[in-house]
Formats: sequence, C-alpha cells, structure tokens
Amino acid sequence: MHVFVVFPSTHEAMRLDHLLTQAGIEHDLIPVPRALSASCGVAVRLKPELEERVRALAEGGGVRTEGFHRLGSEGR
Amino acid sequence: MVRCLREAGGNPGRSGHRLSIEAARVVFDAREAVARLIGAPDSRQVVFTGNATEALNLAIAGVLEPGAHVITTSMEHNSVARPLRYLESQGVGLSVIQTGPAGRVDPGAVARAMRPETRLVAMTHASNVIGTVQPVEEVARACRERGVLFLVDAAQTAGCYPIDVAAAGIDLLAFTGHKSLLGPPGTGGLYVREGVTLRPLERGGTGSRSELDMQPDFLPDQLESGTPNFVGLAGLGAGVGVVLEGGVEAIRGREEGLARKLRDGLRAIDGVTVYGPDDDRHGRTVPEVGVVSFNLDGVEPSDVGYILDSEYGVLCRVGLHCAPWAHRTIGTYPRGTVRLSLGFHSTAADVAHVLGAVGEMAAEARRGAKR
Repeated sequence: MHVFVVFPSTHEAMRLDHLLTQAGIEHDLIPVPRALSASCGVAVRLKPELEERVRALAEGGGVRTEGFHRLGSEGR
Repeated sequence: MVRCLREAGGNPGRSGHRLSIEAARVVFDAREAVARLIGAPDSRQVVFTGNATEALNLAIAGVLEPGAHVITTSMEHNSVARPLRYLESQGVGLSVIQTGPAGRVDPGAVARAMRPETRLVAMTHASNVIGTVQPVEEVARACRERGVLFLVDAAQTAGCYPIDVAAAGIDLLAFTGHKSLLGPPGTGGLYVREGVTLRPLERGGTGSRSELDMQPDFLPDQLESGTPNFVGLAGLGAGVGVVLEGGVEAIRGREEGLARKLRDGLRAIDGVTVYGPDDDRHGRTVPEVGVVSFNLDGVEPSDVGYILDSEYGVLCRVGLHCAPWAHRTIGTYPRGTVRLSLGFHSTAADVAHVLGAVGEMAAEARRGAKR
C-alpha cells in the first residue's frame, strides 16, 4: 500500500518534489497509475505514514494537487 | 546545458521516466530562479517563451481586442511598436506618449491619456538605444488607480537593474534570457500577475489534462504549449543563479559606475555627441542602464562600427537598433547611432580601451575634415 499524489500540472509535481527533497522526505516520482485519473502525467509516491506530513508541506508551500490516493504499491 | 542534453534528454512533464523528470526539474528550477529575481510571489506565474518579443506579443495580443485602447511611449522597441501598430489596423485605439530627447516618460502624461476603454499601458523599463530608465512605479500606480493593466518590457533591465513586480504593481513583465540574465538566446518569458487572464497565442500539448481537447486554464500550462526549450532553460537557470549570487544591486552598482565613466569619457572627446539624459540640460537625476549611444562628427555610424571592430576589436551595434520611434525622439532618425553595451563581464579596462579607440578615431576625423 502506498499513497499517490496527483497534480493538475507538472509544475505542481515538481514543486512538491522540491519541497520533499528539501525536507529530506523519501518519495518517488512515477508515471500516474492507470487507476487514477489525473491531469498531469507525473505522480508522487509515498509511504502511507508520511501522508499527513506531506499534506501539511504541500499546503504550506502552496502546491496545488488533485488529491492523495491510497493504492497498492504498483498503483492497482 | 551539455549536462542537460546528456542526462535530462526527455520531454519535461510528458512522461514519468527519469530523463523526462530531470528535464521537468530543470524547467522548474529556472522558473523558481526567475520568480525569485523579479519578486514574483509564485513561480507558476512565470511562463517561458523563446524571447522577449514573443512574451510581449503574448501579453499584447492576449489582452487587447478591437475597440480597446492602449497607451505606449515614443521610446519603444519594434517588439512593442509593431504589434501595437498591427492591432491599431485591427481596430485597437493607440496613443503614443512623446518624450523629450532624454527619453524619460512623464507618468502624468500617461495618466492623462487614459480613457474609459483603456485596457493596457505597454512600455519599456529602459531604452535599448540610450539606456534611460522609466518611472515604472509611478506609471504602475496610475494604472492601478484606473484599473488598467501594465506591461513592462524588461529586456534591458532584468538581471542588471532591480525589479520587484509585486512591490511595483506590475501586471505583466516580459524578459529575455540572452542579455543580463546571462542565459542563451532562444529563452525568455513573461510574468503574469495572478488574476490576470491572457488569451493564449498558441494552443496544444502541455502534458496536462491530456484527456481533454481544450486548453488548460491554469498557469504555466495555459500559455506554454509544445515542447519547451529546456536545454536553453538549463542555461537560463544557471545564468539567473549567477545573477542571484552576485546580487542585482551589486551588479547594478558596478555597471552604473562603468556606464558613467563611458558616457563622461565619450562626452569629453571633441566631435562626439552622446545621447540620453546624461547631457548637461538634464543633469544626473535620471537613472540609466549600461547602454550608451553616440555619434562621431563626419563619420557614419556604420563606418565607426566597422573601424571599432576591425581595428580595435570592439563589437557594437550601429544604426537604428530596431527602434525607429526612439531615434525620432532623440533626433537621430534615419542616421542612427553607434551603441555600446556594458554587461556583467565588462571591465574598467574595456571602457578605457573603447575611449582610447574613439578618441583616436575622432582625432583622425578632425584631421580629415581640415584637409
């Protein structure tokens, strides 16, 4: 199980990637899983226990997301 | 840029693979750097274009419709003058505020030219012919009071003169990468204040909302269709990084000192006319950037340029500098001027070398005139 964050644009994905890297929070950038409908083709994948921290970071950094979703690690 | 082509050769944001993501990071970093430099509150409000001309066209055509009115100045480059003249032929009202030979715009004259249907004021931040810096803060205030959008052409100032779009109240700011931002040609962009909506010049693939055949309505994607020049943007990001590190104020201070030396030195040469606000009539109250125009009595600008290049290794631009309006304003149309440009890498030795060269040419011209 992982949390997948999806975005309206690549810029927003890059912004969250940047914030997470700065904060030293482990994450991956991956193609958006088919099961999720999202505007931008890149998603951020996280361990579920990081979700609250990342939500707060995203909000504080003004990142626009199209949601946090829980799926199997392969995005199914 | 080389590293970028080797290690980030994917299309930014179009795919989730490593190279595509690296390319998207490059674009993001460049956007953040530019936003920081110009005081944009949010980097998504910075859209990239191929140059300042494209950015100016995007802003002008994105705002104006037939029936609207636009105000500009007699110091504009053709990148503003031509799109506006074209739109005038399509039913847009155009007022051109005439300046004196110093090239400084009177903000009161801009305010007085406003009409109920005025939608936009478009003006340069600094003249590309004589370097005069315009009172953009005052004009911005007049625009804000009347609900008119304000577009600034920062081609000559971004990177070498302080700009804070948020503090100044600038709605739209066009910049080029290849001058004082120390980036490569083929890069530029437009800052768009949040809340200002432009009609895109182009529509197409953005890597977002791919299931829809309608253009996204959010920035930067709305105004950035097609594969971006991310290799160029890698260079732009690096260049802006150097500017941020050096500090615009410090860069400005250095260039201002060199420009003053250059102007004073040229004015002291018998037979040389220097244009711009630095002449005795206007004193030293008007700020200028490091763009200096002059003429040598009895020698055509093209000949001066040729001799400077071939005999002294000084490369400059001669003629009308794509700005016929400005040359009419300063009284050098159609002859034009010889224009010397200072930059980040210019030194006091460069200035001394040019002054020596022009001094020798002036002495030669005087001998020729006596014969």
